[in-house]
Amino acid sequence: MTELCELKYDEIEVGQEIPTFSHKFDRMDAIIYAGAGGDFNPIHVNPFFAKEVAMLPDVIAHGLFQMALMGKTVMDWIGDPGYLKKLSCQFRGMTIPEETVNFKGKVREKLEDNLLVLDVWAEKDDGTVVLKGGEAKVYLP
Amino acid sequence: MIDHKWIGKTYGPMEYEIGREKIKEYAAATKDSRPVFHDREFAKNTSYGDIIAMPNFAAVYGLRGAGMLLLDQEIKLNLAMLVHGAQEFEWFDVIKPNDVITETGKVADIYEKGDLAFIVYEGEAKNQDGKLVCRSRATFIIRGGGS
Repeated sequence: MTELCELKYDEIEVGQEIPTFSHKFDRMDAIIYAGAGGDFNPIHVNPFFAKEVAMLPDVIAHGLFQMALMGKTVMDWIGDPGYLKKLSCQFRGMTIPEETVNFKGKVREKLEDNLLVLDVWAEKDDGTVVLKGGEAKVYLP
Repeated sequence: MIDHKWIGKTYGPMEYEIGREKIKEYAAATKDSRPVFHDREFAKNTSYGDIIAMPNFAAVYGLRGAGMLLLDQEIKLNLAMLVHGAQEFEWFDVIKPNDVITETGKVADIYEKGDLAFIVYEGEAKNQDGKLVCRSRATFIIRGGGS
């Protein structure tokens, strides 16, 4: 049997940071996500509409795409996707093509029953916050 | 502002059958190549016995009621001024290919802050055994007061 999680609840300390995942957003990411996620809002996929109609600087990344990358960041740490119990965040700054977003997390609290709460957030290289006030709850053996 | 009488309005039940290739497509689109989302042979040797969906795949099977809310012709939200402000997913079990998910949802809250209107959707997704697998909460913000 392959164990997916190598962490142990007892070895985790409050304040511990998880490895940062960085992603440079490409306009194809939004097109592919639109197909996978079913959200074809033109502000994500049509540069003409984004700029000329919605008055945005360019197409912007889907919030749920970025939230999924946040989830991936936590799962990369815990190893077993089934141990991710809860994830929340506020969608703040917009991400346009060629911008890099850094997804981060830090252990806030150890709860009973082998549960942990992490603060999670995402920011661009210049510090602009993209996902704010996020929280992840995970189980560890 | 959005009329508060819509608090409690329900959507669904909506059925969604989980497809193996769709699980893989969503994981790939969100840059996640871990084998337990993609490789049936690998997954056979895990406690799951088959591939599982990325938790955030709930954006596909668990938010369709929110889509109905956005297009609801009774509430008539001003979509041009609407942004997805916040999202929360809570998971209670994993999802595998061929699971049949039933989502029911409702308008959980409507409130204002300054000239922003907020409308909150809450959905519950259960599997074919009637087990709750995911609870979702989506907050939409409408600039300039709503509908």
